[in-house]
Amino acid sequence: MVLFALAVLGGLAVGFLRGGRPRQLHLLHLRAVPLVWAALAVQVGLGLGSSPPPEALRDVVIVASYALVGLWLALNARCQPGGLGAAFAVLGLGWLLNVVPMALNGGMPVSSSALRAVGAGDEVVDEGNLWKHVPATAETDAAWLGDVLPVPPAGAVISTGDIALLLGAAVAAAAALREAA
Amino acid sequence: MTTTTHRSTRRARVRSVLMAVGALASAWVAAGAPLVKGW
Repeated sequence: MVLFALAVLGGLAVGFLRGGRPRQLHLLHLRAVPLVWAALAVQVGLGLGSSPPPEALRDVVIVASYALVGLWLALNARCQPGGLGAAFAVLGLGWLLNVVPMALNGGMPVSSSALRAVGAGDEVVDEGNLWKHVPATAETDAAWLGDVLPVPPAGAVISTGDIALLLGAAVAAAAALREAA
Repeated sequence: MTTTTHRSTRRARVRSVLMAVGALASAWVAAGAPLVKGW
């Protein structure tokens, strides 16, 4: 969550510098929020076990979860005004850039060299967060869209889609102050 | 009356912000959540 927090704080800073103020933030209303909470709840439920879930169950849960997030992003990209709508479009792009490699490889491919770069070379990839990662190999499709970007200060390995998601979160934070100003 | 209105507006603002940040954070974990501790 460090990266997410930094993105939101950065967006707020930009929003303030551009003249935005929190005065009317009570007018901020994101649509269909229960959709994204449901998406998170099913993934967390899947990840609660100490051993990997059955593959068929894992696949159904991950697909359903990502579909719920995609629906939430699309709804808000359509109905939020100005900059907030654009922020949700960027978030949607990030979602899509993560869905593609996951759909092609049955999970988010993770680069072993990127893991070593953040000092996590011993990490067992398919026992990672919420059981949705797989090791990247020579046979991985669209590996370049996977978790291949090491971020050593955060101890994380992220994807191009994650960058777009972080950018979207920052733009949303900045836009929320500006729309309300 | 003015003080009550100001307080309720502030509460509404806090509620909206918490809801929005929570929703975005949930989307980050559900659609992103990089491997290793950075998520």
